[in-house]
Amino acid sequence: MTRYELNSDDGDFTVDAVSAGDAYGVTVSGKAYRLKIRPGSSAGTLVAELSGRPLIVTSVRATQSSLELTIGGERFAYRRVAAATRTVAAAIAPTSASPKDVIAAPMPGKVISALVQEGAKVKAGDPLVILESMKMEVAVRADRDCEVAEVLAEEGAAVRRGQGLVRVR
Amino acid sequence: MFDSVLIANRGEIAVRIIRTCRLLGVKTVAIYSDVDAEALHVKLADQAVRIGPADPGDSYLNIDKLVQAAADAGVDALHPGYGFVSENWNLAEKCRQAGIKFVGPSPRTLVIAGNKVDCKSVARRAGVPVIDGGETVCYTPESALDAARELGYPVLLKAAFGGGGRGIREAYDDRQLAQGFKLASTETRRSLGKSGLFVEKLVKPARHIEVQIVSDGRGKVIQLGERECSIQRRHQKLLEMTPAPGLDELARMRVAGYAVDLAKALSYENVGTVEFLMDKDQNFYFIEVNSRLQVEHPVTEMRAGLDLVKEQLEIAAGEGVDYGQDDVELTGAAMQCRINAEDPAAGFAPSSGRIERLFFPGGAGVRIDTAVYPGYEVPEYYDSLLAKLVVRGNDMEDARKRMLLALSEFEIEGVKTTVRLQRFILEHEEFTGWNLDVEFLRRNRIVESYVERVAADRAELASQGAAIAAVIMESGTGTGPVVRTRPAPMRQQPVQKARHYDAI
Repeated sequence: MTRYELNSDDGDFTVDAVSAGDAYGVTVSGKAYRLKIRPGSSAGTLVAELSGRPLIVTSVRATQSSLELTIGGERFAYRRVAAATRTVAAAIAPTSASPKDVIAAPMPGKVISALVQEGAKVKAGDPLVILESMKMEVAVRADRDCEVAEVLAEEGAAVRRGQGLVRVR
Repeated sequence: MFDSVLIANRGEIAVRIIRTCRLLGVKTVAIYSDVDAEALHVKLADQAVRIGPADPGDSYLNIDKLVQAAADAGVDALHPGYGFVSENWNLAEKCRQAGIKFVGPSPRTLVIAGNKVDCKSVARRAGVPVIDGGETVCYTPESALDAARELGYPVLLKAAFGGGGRGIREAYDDRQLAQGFKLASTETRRSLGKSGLFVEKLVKPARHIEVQIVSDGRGKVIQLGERECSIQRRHQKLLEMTPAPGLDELARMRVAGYAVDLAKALSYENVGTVEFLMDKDQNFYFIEVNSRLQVEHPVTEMRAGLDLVKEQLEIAAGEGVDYGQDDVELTGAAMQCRINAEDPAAGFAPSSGRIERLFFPGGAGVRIDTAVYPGYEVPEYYDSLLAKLVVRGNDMEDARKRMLLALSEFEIEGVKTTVRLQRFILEHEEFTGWNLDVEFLRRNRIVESYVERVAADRAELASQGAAIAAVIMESGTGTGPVVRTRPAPMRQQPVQKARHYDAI
């Protein structure tokens, strides 16, 4: 049996997996499954038979210690955090450990207006920048109480997903 | 009929128009912005012309470029679709000057229909009931306050020009009115480029009922029944149906009659929609005219057995309407769900990106109007409508069941959509009881309970995904059965870092 300690944005999971013939016996979150995985019909897809029920798993992407997959249109990313019995997995520090000092665009769009200036003290949930994407206006908000160090967003400019809009401290 | 038509639009509606043109043997010219070069409407058209950069202001909204493209292509007519500049009198006028037939009403009708205050007075004169107030356009908070006090609260503030559900605010007192005026003016200026609001009495609870008309501009007006469009979020329609459930036969006839009277008073030429609010006693109040084809027109087509784009083209080509009201037969019921690239669980945040996986439902009575395909990149520059799922049933309950089935078959990955929210709405007991009004979502806390259910479902899936992830990792160790997939497509980015499981 191998124990996997997996971190994800959806919480941490302890998974015990044991090979059982052509399948695996898996325990996770107090539930036991018999899990059989076979390749799907198209690129990057798998069919996971979870206690007899087939789940289509798509866009499977793996590295040594992390795995991303999509089930039912929902994307999940798992990181293996502690080295377990057999596989050497480099522990990756979870990204959420240190608070982000740059508030980034959650989607591509156009900067309609920057609502804050350098030095402004803002509270969690305060709108910082208004973006326009798909003809909708979206407020990008502070994720915690902080002070604005620099406004990176330029009004009227196009921004990509993940591009920094406001630097905070 | 015309030899050739330029379609001054994009997305599903451009595709929709091209299909009818092809059926009629009319040559089509598509236009496209830089991000739309691979769009479906470009592929389906006989000819395609680049119109400019992605920003709509430099492309689909630029009237001079549109008219120039039409003139250069030598087309007979220009079809504006919906949205963008479809109801802009200036486009109609410039087409006229360039000798190109605009598929829509005359510039004069567009001017009147585009000003809600003027249009309301035409309606009043034609004997069509209107909501109290809204007789002048207010440009200052002071004038709006005066108007509100004279009417008595609660009132509704609305953009006088244009629409699309922008610039609308309810006010129950002076303070809310002043605040609402500020917000609505900003929104109006930004989205419509023109300020000016009007104040009218708030009708609540209200249902949104609209009537489809076909009018040849020579006095012949046909009505194709009403649509119920009360399922809205922030004044954006999500789900439409025809006929409106629970309407008295007399009320149904009355509202259709109002729409016909108004079309006649406007010398309206084109297909069009007259929108009304209906109060709980089934009294109707005219709100506005949509002088174009509407997003929800397919439900009427399903029930009437007519092609509204064909009607538009025939009217524009001067062929008129060669049937009478008695020839129109409306049978069964039809329903449409808008599948938008939005995440209802995240405040309906827009979700652009690449469509990774796509499966459309099928079966009897199912129609999908869309311009997306697997691998299509949903651009961030335009509206979020991905597809319109339309079903037809013997009655509305039959249509509802078919719609639920169709939604359950609908698969789309790569962007977040409203598919599951629509299922949630259709299964709600207030919906199955046809207890509908424009506050439906808010009153029934639909979005809130949807978010809870999505979170619970995702938690369950995340746990199963962890099991799958662990087994995939474990299989790499060589002790158990090996898990492989075919190699993922090249476009998936971190290729250098990623180790794809090899093809068997």
